[in-house]
Amino acid sequence: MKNLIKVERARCNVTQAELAEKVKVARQTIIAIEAGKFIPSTVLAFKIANVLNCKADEIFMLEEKDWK
Amino acid sequence: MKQNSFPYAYWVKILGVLIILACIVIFSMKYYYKGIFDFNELAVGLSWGFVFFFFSKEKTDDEMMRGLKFRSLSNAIIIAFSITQLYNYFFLNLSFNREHDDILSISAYQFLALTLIIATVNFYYLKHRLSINEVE
Repeated sequence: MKNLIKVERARCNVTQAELAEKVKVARQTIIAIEAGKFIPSTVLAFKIANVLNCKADEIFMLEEKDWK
Repeated sequence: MKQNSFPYAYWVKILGVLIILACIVIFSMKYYYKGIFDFNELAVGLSWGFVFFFFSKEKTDDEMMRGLKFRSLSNAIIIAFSITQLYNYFFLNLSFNREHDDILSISAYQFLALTLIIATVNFYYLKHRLSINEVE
């Protein structure tokens, strides 16, 4: 699953640390999500979208390999 | 909805470390003064210490940390079980006679200590691997 968290963070001028603090996760978790190494739960995905003033499906997109 | 997967608070890690250090010191002293290698007593202390250390919350206890802990524990059980089987076979039961002998094995404390040491190392390795590219 790919995501546009980095782009939206830049748009909202929010650092990884600030985003992590607002959604109550470790900064490493935000780093891992942005790098595509960790897929967040539905609740966490909605929290991130909420903080970045977007909808969850605007930030997170399914890829071909997610269907396998 | 708050999930509390781990029963111990973060500060319990310190208690775990103290127990581990204490049992290592006691093991060393026993060897130094009496020439005895008491691995089972060492395993008792290590298993207690690592139970407190591994099953306490992380500084920021989120879903990724819980997932990493579960993954590292799963891997550790498989690896520790394999090591245990190999050790039992090659060192304890090589001349096993089904008619006369009982199957020998390492103790539960030794197995638990081995599993949790592997799990702890694996957890911090996985955590480090995810943090490698910490550049914004």
